[in-house]
Amino acid sequence: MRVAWELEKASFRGQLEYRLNFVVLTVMGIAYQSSGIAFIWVVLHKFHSIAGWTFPDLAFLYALRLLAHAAWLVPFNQVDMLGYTIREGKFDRFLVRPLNPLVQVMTNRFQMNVVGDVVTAATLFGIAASIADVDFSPVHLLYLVLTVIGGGLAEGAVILAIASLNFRFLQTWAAQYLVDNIYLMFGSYPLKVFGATTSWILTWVLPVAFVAYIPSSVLLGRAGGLHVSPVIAWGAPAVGAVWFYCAYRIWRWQLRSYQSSGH
Amino acid sequence: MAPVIRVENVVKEFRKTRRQEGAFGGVRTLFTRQYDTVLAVDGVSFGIEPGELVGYIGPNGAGKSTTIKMMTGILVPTSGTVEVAGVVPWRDRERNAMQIGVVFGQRTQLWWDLPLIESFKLIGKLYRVPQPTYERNLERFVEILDMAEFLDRPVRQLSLGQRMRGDLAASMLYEPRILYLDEPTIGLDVVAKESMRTFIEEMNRDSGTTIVLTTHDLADVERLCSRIILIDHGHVLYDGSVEPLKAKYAPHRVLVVKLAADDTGRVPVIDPSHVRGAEIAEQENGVARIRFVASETPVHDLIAAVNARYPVADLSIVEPDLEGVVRQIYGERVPVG
Amino acid sequence: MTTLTAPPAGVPTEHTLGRNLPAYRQIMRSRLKTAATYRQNVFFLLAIVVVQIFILRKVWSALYQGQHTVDGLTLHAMLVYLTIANLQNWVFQDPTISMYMYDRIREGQVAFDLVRPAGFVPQMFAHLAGSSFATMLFALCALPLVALAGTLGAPASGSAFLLYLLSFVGGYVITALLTLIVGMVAFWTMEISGLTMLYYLVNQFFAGALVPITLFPGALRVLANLLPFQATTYAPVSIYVGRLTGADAWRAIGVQVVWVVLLTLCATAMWRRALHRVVVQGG
Repeated sequence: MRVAWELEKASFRGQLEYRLNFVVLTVMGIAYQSSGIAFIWVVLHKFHSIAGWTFPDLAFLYALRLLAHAAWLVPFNQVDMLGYTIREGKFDRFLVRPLNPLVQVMTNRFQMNVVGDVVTAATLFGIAASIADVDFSPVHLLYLVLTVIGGGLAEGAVILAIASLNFRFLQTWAAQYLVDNIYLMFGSYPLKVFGATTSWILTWVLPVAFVAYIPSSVLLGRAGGLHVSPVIAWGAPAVGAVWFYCAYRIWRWQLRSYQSSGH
Repeated sequence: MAPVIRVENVVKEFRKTRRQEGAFGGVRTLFTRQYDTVLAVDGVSFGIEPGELVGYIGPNGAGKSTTIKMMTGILVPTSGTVEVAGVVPWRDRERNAMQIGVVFGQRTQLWWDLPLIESFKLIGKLYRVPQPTYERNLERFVEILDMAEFLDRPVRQLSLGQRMRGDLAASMLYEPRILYLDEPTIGLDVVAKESMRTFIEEMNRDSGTTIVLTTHDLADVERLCSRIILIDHGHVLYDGSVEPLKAKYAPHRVLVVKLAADDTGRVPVIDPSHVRGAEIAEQENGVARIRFVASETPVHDLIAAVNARYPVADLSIVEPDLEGVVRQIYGERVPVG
Repeated sequence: MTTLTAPPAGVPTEHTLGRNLPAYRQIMRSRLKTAATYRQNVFFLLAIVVVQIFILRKVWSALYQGQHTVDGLTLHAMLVYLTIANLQNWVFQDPTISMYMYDRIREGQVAFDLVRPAGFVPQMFAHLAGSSFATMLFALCALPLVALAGTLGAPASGSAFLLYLLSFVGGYVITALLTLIVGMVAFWTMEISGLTMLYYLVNQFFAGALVPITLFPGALRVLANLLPFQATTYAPVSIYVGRLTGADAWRAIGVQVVWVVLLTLCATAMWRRALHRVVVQGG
């Protein structure tokens, strides 16, 4: 574990060189993250609510999703770049070092603009939490922390599983991008807007609901209107953990089919 | 003694998706992908004893890199066994990693943006090298490979030769039992190549490290390896020492004789009948190239015969080189008996 | 780098155009081929658009809850608007061309493009045309899926459709010019990948693909009307669904023409300065 930390520090020092790149990507990241809420804000200026959720509710949901996304992004952002790392030829080296290859992938490069994403998420959440009607009791706070982690795992699990396809196929970035977008787009709305079938799919086939919709429903006192039982709603973090464990097994299994790059 | 590296009937198949041609292939091809199966390695077997320095050679696409990648645990064999120091590499990657060092000539293991010394420190920590051992080895390698002047420079600023030296040192810092060298001298100038070869030789001789060397530069092999394994099209064509290979494939040597001119400036021509048991390959301007089979015609007899009748100004003997031999074998593509 | 005698920037003469037509045709053909080879990626990107259309349909249906008409558009008309706007916007927005320009400039190969008789700018247009054509084919292929996810509907009237076609061309030309301009930024800075993403987001928003411009709150609406983006998507699709008719429709087309002129001037100016920069500074 200490070694992993050393590797992470090394990557960080390496990246300090590329400052302009950092600024540009950060600004871009902020724009990308905020685009969804911009849409909601414009629309609710005229309409006042979506499926009974007012702007403060929706802002909270959106911000919670960003927070969970950041929780995934900070440690695992390099997983998204796995295809590139493999094509570079760097991944081969990870397999001959005495350290879990996944850990090596994670610490491979320190992506500076992730910092920007975290700050954006935290800021938006701060704002949303202040305008939303949330009871921040100790129980709720604990749930919030766990659910941010669990939500991150729920999203990250799918990304990890799809990224591991890179061991077999060369061009999987499009699939990764699609999944990323599905979580971003669907994950920012109360699922009941999409109807029963879609809600079910986005809960049990792809754990999008567990990232932000279910947790925010609980925290906003809207658990009653959920399509899942309260037990599951409160156990959302656990669902995320289970998904992640399965994704990790898939990763290990796909590693066996690793074809390596040309030379 | 039991072999430290054991490769038995290893087969490796690759499935490459075949790109569908046609202006507008349609959705159909999204679902029915067609695969080409490439048999990169087809039943390769060999054993390597501890302390050996083996050259693993073959043309491009022969299956060399694939075999090495299976031995280092990067690839999983389709069938067959690979065992390195009692460990199955792809199954126990981390345990295997602790006992091997790998140098890829084309890709560095060093951290690109950090000073070289930082890479060494990281390797030390990664492989849990005890501090005294680390310091001792570092000092030794810095001296042998002459790295003191660029230890503080970021790796991306180093020349190829400097970087390769760094890679080599990094791979030995933790004293692995086995060292895999994949094209370590590629792109290096003559001086750099020589110091690399010296280092490799020393590691093998002094530390008893088993070394598997893959290279296209057969001068490396001639200098360093007592044994070579020749692979082509996924098969082992030859596995043994260099000398018998040469004797079988290139039994000829060439005696180059330079004759002195007489007072008038004319240069004599050697009469073929005077060099029995040999053949005059070419003769021009007083330089004669005489081909003979070393085992059949003792060279000193030949020299005496020439010397007796002609004014010899200079002579030299040209040995067959491994490259010519190997080229011939590639051409024939048949396993060498 | 040796000094280059550059061809007159921007507009090729009729003579050169005719002579280079085979070159442009070849470029377009190769673009089609590339698209076919990477169709997997195209389908994924298309999937994202389909998902977005689906989400927009659901969200807007929820928004309309109970109301019949909002701002002159029935729910049905609104959904048709959104579906077509997003599909059209996707066909127009081709990130590959900007990336291609960026790559060639970064790698320095643009020097070859500059001296080739076919000319850099017309070549880029040929690339864009080929790529757009391929994208349109894909879009047509995906029409049934789009119909399922969103709402496809007939144009408001025959004349609406004709005006739409006119406006469509205008929107396309504006988009092409904008793409070219954004691509040319690569001559000055290397950090274009972040820029193209930003451009895509801004464009999508201000083009009215998510929300019709008329529903923007006050200040934002003023801003949107001043930008060229609404002329690419909002204008044509509004004509299609009958939101803009008669004089309003013609006014919108007029605005498009103004933008075409403005952007052409801007692009030409940029091109001259880019050329100057490449020739003098060696790229």
